[in-house]
Amino acid sequence: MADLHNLLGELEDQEEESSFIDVNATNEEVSQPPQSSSPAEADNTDIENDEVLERTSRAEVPPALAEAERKQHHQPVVDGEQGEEDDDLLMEPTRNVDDFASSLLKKKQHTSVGDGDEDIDETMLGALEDEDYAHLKTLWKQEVNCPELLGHDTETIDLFMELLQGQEESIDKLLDQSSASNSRKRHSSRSVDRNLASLVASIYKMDADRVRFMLTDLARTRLSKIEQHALFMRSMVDRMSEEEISYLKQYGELLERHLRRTVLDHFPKEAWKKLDEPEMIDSPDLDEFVFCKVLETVEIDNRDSQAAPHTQDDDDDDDDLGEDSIQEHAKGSCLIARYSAIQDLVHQGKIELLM
Amino acid sequence: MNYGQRGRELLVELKRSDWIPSYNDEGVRGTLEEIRLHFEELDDQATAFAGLNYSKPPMESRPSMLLHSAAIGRNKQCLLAYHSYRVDKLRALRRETPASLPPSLSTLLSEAEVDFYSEYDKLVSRYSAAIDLDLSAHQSPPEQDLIQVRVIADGLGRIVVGGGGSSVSLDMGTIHFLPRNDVEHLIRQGALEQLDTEESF
Repeated sequence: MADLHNLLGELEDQEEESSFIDVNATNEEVSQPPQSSSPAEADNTDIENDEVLERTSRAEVPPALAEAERKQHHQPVVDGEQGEEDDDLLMEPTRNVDDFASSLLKKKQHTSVGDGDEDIDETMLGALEDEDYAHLKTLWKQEVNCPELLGHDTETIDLFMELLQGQEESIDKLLDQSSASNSRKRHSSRSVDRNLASLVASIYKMDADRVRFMLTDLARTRLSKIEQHALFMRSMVDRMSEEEISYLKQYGELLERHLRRTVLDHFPKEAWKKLDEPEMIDSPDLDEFVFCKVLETVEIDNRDSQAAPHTQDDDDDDDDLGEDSIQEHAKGSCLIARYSAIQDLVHQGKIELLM
Repeated sequence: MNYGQRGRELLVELKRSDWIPSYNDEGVRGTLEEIRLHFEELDDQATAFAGLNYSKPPMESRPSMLLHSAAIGRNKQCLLAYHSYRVDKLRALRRETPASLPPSLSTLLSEAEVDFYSEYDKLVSRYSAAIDLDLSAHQSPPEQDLIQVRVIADGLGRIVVGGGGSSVSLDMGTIHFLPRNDVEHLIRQGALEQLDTEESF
């Protein structure tokens, strides 16, 4: 997400320069920004930004850019109103570009490679989505790395589904804009408009793709966990959404029907036809080792009835059993641990699983 | 009688094959037959002492009864494992490529499994529609929006791509630059080959 904002900032700089240079050369300059958006060149563009500020008192913000920025700034729900604003923007850009550029400068000073998420929230280009995006990402990471099914976070998922739809709409709108001809504009800015709009559209598309991938992978992982331990999951119904519950029921019936048809019905005696004796239900392997990161200072009880606890001396056995098994870990430390030892803490949110 | 050998053979067969072997109907029936034999033995022994008015089976026959019921349990386990392994493979297949069974594979399956596959297909499609996400798309994190692909399978015809709705003719050996979403499932099926990864040249 950080690159997205840098990119739009780059476009902004290039656009301001071009309004003073020969109009025909505009097309070439617009095609440059994609290559120059690496953070390593932030210094150059800072200088450019300064020059630009000196040169302009008031320049035209490319309307598509302003529109895209405005879209990011507002909630997706407000999208309906944006459509009418398009025409206004095209006629009369009223934004003061100085504020815009200066906020960009401020942001560039904060931004380090790939880590700008928290800072972006404060600037105009940062959208409400970023916190939720980080939340979705965490949710996805946790689910993928956890041996058991985690609780279903309905709000986040619904929020992102809506967001996706909103983004789809703006992508379509931008694509239309990129192919529409607008007779009110001069020739150069019309083609610039189109290029810009299609570029912004593809950026939006990448973003939407990423969100969609995470949502899809989340759903897929949960489904496969449900299927694998179908009988066991009957006891964990409270962690699933409604559709997942009905999926579980249907899948369970399907599986049972299949097994009955092929195997169980041929058994002579009724008692052997059962599928759900306690030993037969396979529960997820909670003793898997996982990487995790400690978010708050915790104590981990490492006591395990089966495996020998980790002791530093091989001599002391029973004496140290009690002392060595409770370990305290400070915030920020990363561990490899058996999942069963940290299970409760994960549910409480004090430990987070890492990829 | 083989105590659990038939079952073991079934499982070993699974291990030896690439995907799944052809459904070993004979093996399955053989195992079921064994179970029946064991059960008959058990039954015989049970009726033998039933007339003798014992509430519990006598000491002499206990070991053999235990053995028989253990053998039945073992066979049951093998059978269930065999079938659920095959079912797992079928599910994984459906996850990868949400198409109907290619005929080359359907010869490997029993009738029940074919039914299972179609039912499962329906189930997953219904769920996909319910949560409004296509579960078989986006199998890997997206790196690029447009990717270069080369056509390596024949006879694909034209496909419609992208927002513009233009169609592209997929002739053998041609290279195209297409949106990832549209061609991903073809790549997974093996009809197209992605060109701009590190492995390509």
